[in-house]
Amino acid sequence: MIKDLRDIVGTENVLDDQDTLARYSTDQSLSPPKKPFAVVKPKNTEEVQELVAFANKTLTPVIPVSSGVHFWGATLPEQGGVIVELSRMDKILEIDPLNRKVKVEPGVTWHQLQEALAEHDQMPLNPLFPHTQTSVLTSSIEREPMLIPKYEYGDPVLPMQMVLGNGNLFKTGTAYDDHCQGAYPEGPGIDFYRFFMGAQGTMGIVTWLNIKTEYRPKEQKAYFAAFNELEDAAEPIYKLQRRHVGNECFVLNKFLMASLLSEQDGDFEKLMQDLPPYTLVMIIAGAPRRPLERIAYEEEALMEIAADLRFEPAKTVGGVAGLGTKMIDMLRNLPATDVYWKNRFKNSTQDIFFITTMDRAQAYADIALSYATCYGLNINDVGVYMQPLERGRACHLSFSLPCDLDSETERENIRELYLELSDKFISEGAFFTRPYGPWADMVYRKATSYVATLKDLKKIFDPNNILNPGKLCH
Amino acid sequence: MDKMERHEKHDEILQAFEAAIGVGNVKDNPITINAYRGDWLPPKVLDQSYPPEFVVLPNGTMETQRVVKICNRYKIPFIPVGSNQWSMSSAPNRPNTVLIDSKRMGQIQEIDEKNMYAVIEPLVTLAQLHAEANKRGLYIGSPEASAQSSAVAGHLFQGMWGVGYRLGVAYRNILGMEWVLPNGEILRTGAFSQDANCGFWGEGPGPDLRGMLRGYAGALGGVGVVTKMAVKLHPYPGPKVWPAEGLIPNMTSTLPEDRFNWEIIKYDDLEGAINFMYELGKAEIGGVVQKWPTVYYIWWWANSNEEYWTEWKKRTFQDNVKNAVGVSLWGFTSGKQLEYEKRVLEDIIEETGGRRIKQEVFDQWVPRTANNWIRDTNGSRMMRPSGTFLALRLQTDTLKFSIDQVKTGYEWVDKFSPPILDSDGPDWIGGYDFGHFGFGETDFPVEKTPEALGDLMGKLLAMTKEDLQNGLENGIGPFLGGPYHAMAGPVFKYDQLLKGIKKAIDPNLVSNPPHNIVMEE
Amino acid sequence: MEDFMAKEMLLPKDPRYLKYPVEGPFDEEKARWVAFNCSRCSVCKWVDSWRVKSAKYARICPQHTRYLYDSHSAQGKCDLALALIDGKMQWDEDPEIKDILFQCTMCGGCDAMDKSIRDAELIKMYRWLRSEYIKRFGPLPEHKNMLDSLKQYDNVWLQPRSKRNSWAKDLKELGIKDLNKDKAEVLLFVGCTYGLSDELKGTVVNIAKVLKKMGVDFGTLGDKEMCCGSPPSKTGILDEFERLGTANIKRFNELGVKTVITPCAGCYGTIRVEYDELEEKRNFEVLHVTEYIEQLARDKKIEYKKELPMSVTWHDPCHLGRMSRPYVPGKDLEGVYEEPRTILKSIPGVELVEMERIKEYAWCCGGGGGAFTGFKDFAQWTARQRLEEAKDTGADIVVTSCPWCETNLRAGGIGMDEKMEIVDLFDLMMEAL
Repeated sequence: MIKDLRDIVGTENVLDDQDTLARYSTDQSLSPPKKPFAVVKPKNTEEVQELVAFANKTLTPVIPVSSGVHFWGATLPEQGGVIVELSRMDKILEIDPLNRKVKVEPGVTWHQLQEALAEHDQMPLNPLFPHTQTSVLTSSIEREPMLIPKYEYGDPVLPMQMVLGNGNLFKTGTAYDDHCQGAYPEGPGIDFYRFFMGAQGTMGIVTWLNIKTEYRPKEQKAYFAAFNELEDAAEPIYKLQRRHVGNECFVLNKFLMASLLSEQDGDFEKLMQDLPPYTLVMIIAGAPRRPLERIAYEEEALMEIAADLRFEPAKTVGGVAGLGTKMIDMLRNLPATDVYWKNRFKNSTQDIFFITTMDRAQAYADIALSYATCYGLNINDVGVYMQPLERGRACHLSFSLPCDLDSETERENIRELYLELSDKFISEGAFFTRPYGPWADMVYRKATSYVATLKDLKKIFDPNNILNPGKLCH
Repeated sequence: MDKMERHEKHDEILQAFEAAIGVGNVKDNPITINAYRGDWLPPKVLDQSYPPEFVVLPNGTMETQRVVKICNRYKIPFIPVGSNQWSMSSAPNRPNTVLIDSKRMGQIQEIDEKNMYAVIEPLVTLAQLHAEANKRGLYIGSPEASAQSSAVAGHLFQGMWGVGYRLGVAYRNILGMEWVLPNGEILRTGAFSQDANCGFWGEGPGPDLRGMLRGYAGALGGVGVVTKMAVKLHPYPGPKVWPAEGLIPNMTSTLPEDRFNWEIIKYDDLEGAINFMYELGKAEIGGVVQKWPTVYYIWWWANSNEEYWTEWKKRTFQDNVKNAVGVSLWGFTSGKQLEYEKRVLEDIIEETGGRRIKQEVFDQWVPRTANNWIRDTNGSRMMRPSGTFLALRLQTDTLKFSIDQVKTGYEWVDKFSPPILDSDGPDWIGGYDFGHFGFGETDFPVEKTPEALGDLMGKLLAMTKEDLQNGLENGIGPFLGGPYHAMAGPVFKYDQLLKGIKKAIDPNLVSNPPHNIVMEE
Repeated sequence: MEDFMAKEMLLPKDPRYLKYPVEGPFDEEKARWVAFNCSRCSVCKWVDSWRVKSAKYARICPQHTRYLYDSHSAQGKCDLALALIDGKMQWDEDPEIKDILFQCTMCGGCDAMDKSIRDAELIKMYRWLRSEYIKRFGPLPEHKNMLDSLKQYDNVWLQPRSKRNSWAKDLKELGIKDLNKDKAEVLLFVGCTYGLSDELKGTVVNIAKVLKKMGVDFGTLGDKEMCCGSPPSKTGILDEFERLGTANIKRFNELGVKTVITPCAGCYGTIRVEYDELEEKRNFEVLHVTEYIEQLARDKKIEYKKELPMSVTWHDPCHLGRMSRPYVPGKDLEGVYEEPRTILKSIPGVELVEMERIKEYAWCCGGGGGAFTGFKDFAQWTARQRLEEAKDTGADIVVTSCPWCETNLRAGGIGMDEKMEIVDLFDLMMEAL
């Protein structure tokens, strides 16, 4: 097998040493180690196709991996197999400022993309301060939420190209027609692109993707509002979103805020002391034209809403000096720190996230904190992130459980909490739209018809089940 | 009745339906089936359709499931229809067809005002939903099919409503769904997959099976029956009751001037107009941004056939709105937003060399017509001047690409005139998602005679085949459904995938064959 | 390529697309034209989208709303007409044809909505269909009494002619002129239903009193008054309509009548619009009593003595509204909409609250088109929908000015939990006067 793989990608791009295999056996999740046979690094689509053909011939599972870091166990091989490490395919293939889209290969990271787009006064619609090694492509097709609810008018994901499990090359949207410019995701025939989103690499290996970009504001103001409870933040967000106020809008509790803002030793503890329980972060940004005028009317609306609902938009929270400038800087120039900001407290956080509506967020927060307490966690050490989606019609709600991955006891404790809490959330109506790891079983057991149809689809796109088998319901 | 071919087990099937959904909710008599044998397109005029054998009115998902299972048992085709208006595919094209009419499924099950979505059944019209949404400070678009069409059907087919420029169009507007697959299984998607009463989110879980349902022109009934859909509603700074003055057919509508404003800006050429549209998108201003062809202006404006052709001959619109872009500004945030957007608009007009159309033409057209692009596009008026209209060249991609599309459209219109009637170079280009993409379409009047339509359909088919030979999709193709996908699939490499999906969920090929792809050898 | 001006205009070959042929009799060719150009857009089933105010009250067609299948809609009837004319279906092929054609209340809701998007005359097409049906199968048994009554008594209620004027028997002191002998400016055409119904006679009395109070110089034809011809016209018995209409026109012309006013919406629509189809031409103007009185109300010449503190909602009778004007393509679907409203608002204490479906997009009472006699169940169902709508306004009473509306709405209200009182406009006026 190794020889065959070397013939495809070159000797230096096939790794089967124990250190490498160990590295790819685990990730930041609590999954037990799952070791691949080898790691291969193709350089282009043709090599990916050859790898998939090989996989079909030998019935070898292949697991596509684009990011350099993984959090949810999605890239750990359930049935052995070969990791197809796509980080060599790291080109930004096309920046199209006129139509505000960009075409990227799997290995392109958010940091890389943000920097490249800045030269064109554009910015990507990244999730919350992604890891430096997070792949844009993976984030996008895995439906990680963006920070700016107003840009949810259309799918950020545009046409893409992938190698299907049967080895065929396929393009979605208007990319299938070479005369088009790849700006529209629907078609050909049906909305194929939807099958590859949230699929954890089980339907195809995406080798390039178009996504939307937006104007990178030159003028903007940051506002922060302090709240004691999550529900207190929900109502202002409903009103702000309803009136189309603001760009970035999200809520972090003090644990995550402190993690984000800490730069050196001692910062975290002080921030934990000073920060309010919840902070609503709002960026009011100017448009390309008359930016300050837009900021002015949106600001006015913000203050009206604040007066009406009696909260105070301020330039900082917790007395943090220069917070506005810092926040804007972090958003426009993603921080590239040695330690991932979420791992500042312990060396990992186990995130439980799902979609719900903001008016139910408090109930979930109460459940999370009470369960955490039962498992011996300090409730202050649980992260809460609420990301309004699509003008506040729903939200991505995430609870971060810090965990020292080097402690077996802690892993076990957090793992049990993680499972129990996830199950509880589901029973309370939380919608796990991205069912990673143990969530897959929990979610799919309630959706038998969905599973049956998904399996039918899988047989079409990946008849030999060689693409990341064992994930989702496969 | 002509072309009526009864199934050998007709009476048995009738009894089965009656047992499943109640006597009175299934009919097979000539007058009833005659009312369902046509649609607006040439099949009716060209007499290519069959009458359905049964028309059934199930109530809800469970009854619909029973109907679909009966169809599977007897291997007879069914066609689901919402409002059944303007339907491209509801004319049965083979005998023994069951027409599943949604007339007993007309409830708005829920409107969640806070979280801005509604759960609706298939017969609910966009006008009904619009009215209920407006009361709550919310909004939903309506496509050209007009607001008396089914909201569910509109979401499954095209759905390029005007305010999609700012709020997104149909494919992005669907949340959870409840759906009877052709094999009779009930599929719930999105949040409905976990809780049948909770449809607030559409994607997943995991890979999104909604992908089977749409595509640019939908599956035309080839993938089962959607019996419940949650759809997004959007913030709306307008009044609770739609403002309309006057009497039919001369109604006017003016939205509050402190929050809404219309402008029509003209350019020397199409490139100028599209450049303007790009600038608007980049500046993130506008609620509706549309470059309508001349025919659109007069189609929606004229209140009688005589008025239409008199005005057409006078060239009022031809001389004044060519290469003009209609822009509706909305003060979503406040009146100050509107004022801001007006200023930005002026900047852009000046920079791009635009000019307003003549005031008298603006005053003649806007109060009577413009707000159709906000509520009720009233596309039925497109039939007025000659009995019907058709389209060729549709494609959605970049705004720039849309120029190419419509320019090829000019060539083909030229080639096909007659029977295409006078249309002054039809070139509809809509801007969507703040200019991230554009949609170009060529629509024109054509006389509703079997000769004209037969002639044109033949030419359209030839054009489609020629395009496919050149690796082009002109866009009208998907509207033809199954037969088109059978031709285009091998060209664009999706036929086997589509056939695989169709075979998996419709093993007995009962869901409106030949849609969404021809399966028979 | 883009020089379209240089090219000769390509216009439709069929001149009917250039201008809809309004003139001339409505025959098979016209019926086919209307049916053929149905594009299945469904506007005929729903209130015009710009006028929809709620999901609940979004429908316009009672027959389609009740019976659901598209065969019951205007679109279905277009399909039927086309099939029958083209020989693809036979008239005796399906017994349901009777219900499809005759259940309809001929309210014109579909007709009005259809006119918002094309030039067509759906109601005329239905009338033609009904007349063709009757040519082949005779009048419906349900309408036989009506026809016999007309032939024997010149009224639709099987009442002897002598009873026609019985409403006026106690009004000698009013000095109502008999225009068979005297002259007056205005002929008050009472109509069969107002004149002969014990329940409604009081309204005519009030109308006469109101007119007298206003100082209007009017008279009636007493028991010589003949039916206007509306019921046979709507039910397709066109020869009977022709007989009555022609006789009335001749009579009124002979009497030198210049203005005919009538309280009955049915008579109003028929005399004002449908009489123009007849060869005999009228030399008189036709007004509804509300039109006549409204001017006086506007000029505040009415001296009300009493305040009536109540909220009322006005039901627009179809034949007073959208069916009350000859069709001119492109012209407003005018009708007597504002006049009754002006009168209502002039009555001290009265607050007018509107239903959602009003004016040219009003929901029918259910009583027209022969449905009242032929399809009672459906007629009353239709009425109940209207009463629900009226109740939802929160108004105390429903006011209207049409004997068919009043009768059918009252009939529909029987058995409803919270009945709405139906009051004639003139009864209300009289109470305040």
